[in-house]
Order: sequence, then C-alpha cells, then structure tokens
Amino acid sequence: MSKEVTIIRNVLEANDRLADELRATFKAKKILCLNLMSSPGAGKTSVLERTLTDLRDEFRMAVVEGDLQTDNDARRVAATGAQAVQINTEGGCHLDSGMVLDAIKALDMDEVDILFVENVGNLVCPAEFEVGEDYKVTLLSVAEGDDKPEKYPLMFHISSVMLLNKVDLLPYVDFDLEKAAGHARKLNKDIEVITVSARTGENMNAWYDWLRARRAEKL
Amino acid sequence: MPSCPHRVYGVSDLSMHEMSIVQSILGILREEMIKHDGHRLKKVVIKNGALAGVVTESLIFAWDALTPGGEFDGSKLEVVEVPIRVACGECGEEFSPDHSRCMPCPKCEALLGHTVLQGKEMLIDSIEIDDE
Ligand SMILES: Nc1nc2c(ncn2[C@@H]2O[C@H](COP(=O)(O)OP(=O)(O)OP(=O)(O)O)[C@@H](O)[C@H]2O)c(=O)[nH]1
Ligand SMILES: [Mg+2]
Ligand SMILES: [Zn+2]
Repeated sequence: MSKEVTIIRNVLEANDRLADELRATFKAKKILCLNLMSSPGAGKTSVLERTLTDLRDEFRMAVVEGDLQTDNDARRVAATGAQAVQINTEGGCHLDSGMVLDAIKALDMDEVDILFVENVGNLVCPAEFEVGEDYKVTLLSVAEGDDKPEKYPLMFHISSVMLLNKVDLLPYVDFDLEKAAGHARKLNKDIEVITVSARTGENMNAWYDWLRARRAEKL
Repeated sequence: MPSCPHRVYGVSDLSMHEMSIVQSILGILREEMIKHDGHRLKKVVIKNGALAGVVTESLIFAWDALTPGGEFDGSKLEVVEVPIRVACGECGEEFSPDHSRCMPCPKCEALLGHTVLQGKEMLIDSIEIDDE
C-alpha cells in the first residue's frame, strides 16, 4: 500500500540544531560570536586585522576563516597574534554550523572573549545558514555600488550592522552614502550603519564601541 | 598559544549550496521514513520559496546525483516554487511582487521596508511512501 504523509519540516533545521549547540557553548563561555558577511573583497579580513591589532589588550579574540581555498586569510589574522583557524569549503559558497563546530576544536575556547566568523565572500547564501552567531555583520565597500542593500534584501534584513568600508575611496567612486544607508534602514529599521576605512583607520572607534557594548551584554 | 595556529580544514563533499541542502533533506527523510514505517520512498515534495536562494534546477540535479544506488534510489523529487508575498512597510497592503529586486506597493507605491510573509521557506512538504 502506498500513502501520502504530510511532513512540513524546514530543510535548514539540521543546521539550526547545530547552531543552537554552538550558541550554548558560546553562552557558557561568555563568548560574543559575530558572523561577518560580504561580497568577495569588501574588506572583511582587513577590518579584522585592524580590529585584532587595536583591541589586542582589551579582548582575547579568535577568528574562524571561511574561504573556498587557501589559508591566506587565517595567516593574515594570525599574524596579529589572535588564534585563527581556516575552513576551506572547496567550492561551498557559505559556512555552516557543522563546519564551525569542527573548526573551533582547533581553538582554545577558554581563551576567547570574541569569536569572529569570516564567512565566504558571497552576498546570498551565507544569509541562509546560521553559524551560532549572536549577531550578523554585513560589510559593504563603497567600491561596490550603493544599490547592494536593494539587490540583496535578505542579507541586510537580518544583519544588525552594516559596516560601510573603504570610505577613503569615496572621493573616487560614485557612491551615495545616504542612499545605501537609507535602503538598509528601510529593510531593517534597527540596523546600525557604521562607516569605516580599514585602510586609514577612520571611524574604527565607532565599530569598537559597538563591539564593546555587545560583548558587555554577554557577561 | 600553539606555535603554528593555522589549521586547514577540507570540506570536500560540498560543491554547491544545493548539494548541502539535499544532504539535509536526506537526513530528514531518513527520520521520517522510520517514523512513518515507510519501506520505499516514491516521491518527496519540497517547497522552495523565491527568496530562499535555492535554484530548483540545481536542487533536482543534486538529488539525481546523490540518490542513485542509495536507500532512496528511484524516488522522485518534486519542487513546488512558492512566490514572494509581502506586507507593505508603509500602508500594510499585502501583495505579491513581480520580482524580488523591486517591489512597489500597488496601493501606495512604497518601494522598501516590506515584511516578507511568504517566499523565504525551504521545506519538505510531504512524502509518498510504500508501507509494505
Ligand atoms: N582603499 C581601501 N582598500 C581596502 C580597505 N579595506 C580593504 N581594502 C583592500 O581591499 C582588498 C580586499 O580586502 P580583504 O580584506 O582581503 O577583503 P575580504 O572581504 O576579506 O575578501 P575575501 O575574504 O576574499 O572575500 C585588499 O586589497 C585590501 O587592501 C579600505 O578601507 N580602503
Ligand atoms: Mg577575507
Ligand atoms: Zn503600501
């Protein structure tokens, strides 16, 4: 006999379960975990390098790096003295909680106050897969065009912060800060828009203040 | 601090987004087959929202690549595409936009700030099984 059974189960739920497991670990250890997302080359690693250097004496920080290939980014952030572990997805366009669970085994999690997860450069798929983060941070560089929030609404809808990077390039590109920020705020009225330059260090303090406040919430 | 903190992890069984989604689907199906005493899976119906970022063709391709020879060999994957439905951020009007890039409200013409009511889902809707 053949029968039809109604199921209705979210396909991403397997990942959600693992994300909850990660969250429980982070909560127990009072670790703030941030999921950094952007299109390729927006400056995630550069922002991390500067952050890890500038806040070195204030927080113990660790990084999980996700890239299609190479461990270049893990090497770059490890050069600041932070703990770092690389995940190569070999074609996978996003990180998921299973990969992060595996990766953090390589870190001493008792020595971490803030864990940054640098997702694979991609403005679409990472938005679908939680990695145990407390907050999602989306980077957008002014070189990419101010229409990105409009084109990738889900990404900005679910992010707590839009870090607008490479503002040192504003004089050379056609990018309307107000327009990009406006669109992002319309998608998500609570999104914080912080403009920075990882190159010059401009306004990085605003980002650090946000980090300090979020980390304090975990204590 | 270890002297060399770099570790390289290879996650080689992921070649695309849809492959990992099919892996998740297979995991859920295994649980459901046990729960419902199914002997053979004939068909599974998936609902794919237009905003879920999952390409239906790739999903079917991944299914056809991963199922032959396994426990679900010979079963059929049916994908129902679910259109986007939003509530206007300005006036609350509910409507289905023509595409996801630009969603002008038919009532007040507001372009942004809408709440997505439907279209983000990626779920298993039902299965057809032989139970003997
Ligand atoms: N002018 C300028 N260049 C920057 C800034 N931040 C990063 N860059 C440059 O942008 C390029 C990409 O930076 P990364 O930090 O590697 O970007 P990413 O987002 O980590 O890139 P992927 O990991 O490959 O996705 C590098 O050449 C950086 O030097 C900035 O604030 N201003
Ligand atoms: Mg990088
Ligand atoms: Zn309206």
